[in-house]
Amino acid sequence: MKKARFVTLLVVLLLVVSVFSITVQAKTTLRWWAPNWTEAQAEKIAAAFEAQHPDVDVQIEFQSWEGMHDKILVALKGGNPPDVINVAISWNVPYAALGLLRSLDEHVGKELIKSDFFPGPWNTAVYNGSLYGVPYRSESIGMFYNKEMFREAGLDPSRGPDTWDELLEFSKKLTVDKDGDGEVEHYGFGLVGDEPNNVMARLLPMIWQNNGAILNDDYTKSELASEATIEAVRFYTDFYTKHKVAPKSTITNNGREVERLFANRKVAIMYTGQYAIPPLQQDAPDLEFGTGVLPKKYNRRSMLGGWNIVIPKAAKHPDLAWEFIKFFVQPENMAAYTVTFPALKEAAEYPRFDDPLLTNFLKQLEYAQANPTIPQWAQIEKVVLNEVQYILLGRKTPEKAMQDAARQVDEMLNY
Amino acid sequence: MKGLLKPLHYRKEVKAVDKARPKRFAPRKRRMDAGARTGLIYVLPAVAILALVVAYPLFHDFYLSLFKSRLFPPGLKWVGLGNYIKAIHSPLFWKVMKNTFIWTVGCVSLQFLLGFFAAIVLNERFKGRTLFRALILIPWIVPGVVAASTWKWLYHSDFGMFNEILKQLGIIDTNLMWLGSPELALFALILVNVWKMYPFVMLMILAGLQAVPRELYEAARVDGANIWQGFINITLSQIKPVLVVTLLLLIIWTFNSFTFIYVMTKGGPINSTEVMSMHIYRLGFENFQFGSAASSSVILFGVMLIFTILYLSRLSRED
Repeated sequence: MKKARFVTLLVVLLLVVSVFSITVQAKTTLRWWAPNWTEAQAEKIAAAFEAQHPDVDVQIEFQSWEGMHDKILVALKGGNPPDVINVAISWNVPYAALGLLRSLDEHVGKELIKSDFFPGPWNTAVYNGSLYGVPYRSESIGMFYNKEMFREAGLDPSRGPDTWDELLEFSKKLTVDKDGDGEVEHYGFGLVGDEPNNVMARLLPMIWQNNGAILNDDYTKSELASEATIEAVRFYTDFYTKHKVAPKSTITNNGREVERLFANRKVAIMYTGQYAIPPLQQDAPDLEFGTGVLPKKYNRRSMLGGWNIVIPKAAKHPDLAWEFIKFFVQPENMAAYTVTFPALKEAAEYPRFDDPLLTNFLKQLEYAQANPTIPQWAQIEKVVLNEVQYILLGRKTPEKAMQDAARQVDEMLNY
Repeated sequence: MKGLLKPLHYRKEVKAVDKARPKRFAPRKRRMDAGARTGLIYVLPAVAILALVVAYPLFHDFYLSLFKSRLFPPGLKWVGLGNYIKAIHSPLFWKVMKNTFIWTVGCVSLQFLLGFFAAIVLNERFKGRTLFRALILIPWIVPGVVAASTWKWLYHSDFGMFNEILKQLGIIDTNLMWLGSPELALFALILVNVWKMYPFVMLMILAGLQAVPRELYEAARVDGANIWQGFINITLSQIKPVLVVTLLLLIIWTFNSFTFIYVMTKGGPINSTEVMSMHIYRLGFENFQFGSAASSSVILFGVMLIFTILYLSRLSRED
C-alpha cells in the first residue's frame, strides 16, 4: 500500500511539473546571436523588448570574434539558424548572395528610409538591388597624434597633418634621436606592416585618396597595377623603406601593436579607430593626444567598418524577428548599443557622441566607403599584405610587387 | 677510443639477459576461440564510431581532392588529378615543403638532443633531482597558445626581452627582427617548439634508462669497460627501441604541428614560416579552396603514412 501511494504521488508531481512547464513554454522564444563585447547593452535591449512584448522570451547567444564568420555561415546553411544575427558589414552581401538571408524590401520606404542612414553603411546591406540587413554600427579609422611631441618638434599642437605632404613633413620632424646615440627615441609615423585587414584598413584609404583602386567597378579585374595605386603604395611603404620615419619593427606590427607603441610614446602619429581611445586613456592617462580626419591627397576617403543586423531565410519566427529589428534600430537603442557610431544619422546626434575627441571620427564617417563586398576579399587582403611585406623587406619595388599582386588577384577572381 | 672497435663480449651477455625476459606476445593461434570472438563484438561499437569519425572524413578528403571547390557560389568542378599537378608546378608548394622539411628536421633533432642530454643528467642521483624533473616538465604542461603568445612578445624586436638581454650582454648592438625577418623567423619558431617538446623526449628516454638493469653495468665494470664503452654498448642498445619510438612520434607530431605557427606568424613574413599544416589551413579556411586544401592534405597524409607504418612495425616488433 505504501509503495502504491508513493508512486501515485510521484506521478501527480510529474504531471504538475509538466503542465507548469507547458504553460511556461507558451512564450515564444526569439533567438539572437550577438557579439560578446557588448553583453550588457544587449541584455538591456532584450529586457526592454521583452517588457514591450510580454509573450516573447529573447534568448541571446553571445559569439566571440574568433571564428564568428564561419560559425554563422554553418548555422545559416544548417537549416536551424537563430532568428536574428549581428554580422560584420563585409559578410552581409556574401551571405545574401548565397541565398541565406531574408530580404527586407517590404519595409524599405516605410520603416527603413535610406536617407535616414549614412550613405556608406546602407549600401553594405544591398545585394542585387534588394536590402538584406539593417546597418546599426558604423566606424572609420581616423588620425591620432601626440601633442607633446608636436610641441617639442616646433609644430602646432592644435592640429595634426592635413595633407599627404604635411604627413610626410611632420613625420620627418617627429623622428627624433635625442641623444645622438644612433637609437631613435620615437618615430614619426606608426606604419602598420602586419595582419591583412589591419594593413588594408590603412592602405586602402591612401589608394582611394590618390584616385586609385583595388578592383575595377564591377569587381571583375584588379586595378592594383594602375599608376595611381602603385603611387599610393609607394607613398605608404616609403615611410619605412625610404624616409625611415616608421619603427624598425613595422613588419611585425599590426594595428594593436602600433597603438601600444603610441601609448608608450614610441610613435607620434598613427591611423586607427576610435575604439583605441578608452585603452589609450587607461594605459597612458597623462599622454596628451589629439585626433583628426585623415590627411588628404585628392580626397579624404577611408574604409568603412561596421555591423549590420540580419534575419536568416530559415528563421523560425521571421515576423517576430522583424519586430525586434525595428525595435533595435530605434535611434535611442542604436545609440546605446553601438561601441563606435550608430548608422542612423539621428542616433549620431545623441549626447553620448558629443565628446570632442570623437567629432573628428564622426566627420570622417562622411568620407567613409565600404570596401568591395566580394567573398574573395579576405584572400585579396592577404595577397596585398604579402606583396607589401616584400616591398618593406626591400625585395621588390612597388611596381613589381603590385604587378604580382594584380596577377594573383585576377587569377583569384577567375577561379 | 680503441675500446669502441673491439668486438665486445658484453654484447653476448646483454643478449642473454634479453632472452631471459618473458616474451610479450603468445604465439599466434590459427582460429579465434570463443573468448576472442566475444571480445570482437565488444570492440565493434567503438570501432564503428572510429570508422565514422576518422575513416569517413579521410575518404571524403580523397574524394574532395579531385575537385575544384568554391564556396561563393557553391560548387564542385571535376578536375581529376588537376589539383596535384597544379601543386607540383607551384613554387609556393615547394617552398612550403622546404619549410616543412627544415622545420621538422630542426625541431626533431634539437628536441631529441636536448631531451636525451636532460634524461642522462637526470638519471644520476643528486640532491633536488625530483624538483628538477618536475620543473623541466613545465614547458610541456603550459598550453600551446599561452606559450606562443608569451614567446611572441619576448621576440618583439622593439619591446621584447630577448633583444634587451642580448644587447645588455653585448652580444648584439641593434635589435634583431626575430619574427620579422624571413631568415630568422623559422629558426625562432623552431626554438619555441624545441622548448615545448624536449620534456617529452626526456620523460620517454628517462623511463627507458631506468629500465636498464644495473647488473649489466656492474658486469661491464668488472670486465674493465670504461664509461664511454658502457654507454655505447649497454645504454644505447638497451634503450634503442625507446629512442626509435620517440623519434618517430616526434616526426609525426612536428609534421602536423600548427599552433605555434598560427599564433606567432601565420606563415609570414612572406611565406617564410608557412609549413604544410598552415598552408592547408589557409587554402581551406581562408581561401575556401577546399579542393586544393584536400589535395595538399592527401600529400601530407602520404608522407605521414610512411612514418606511421615505420612506427607501428617498430611497436609490434618489440620482444
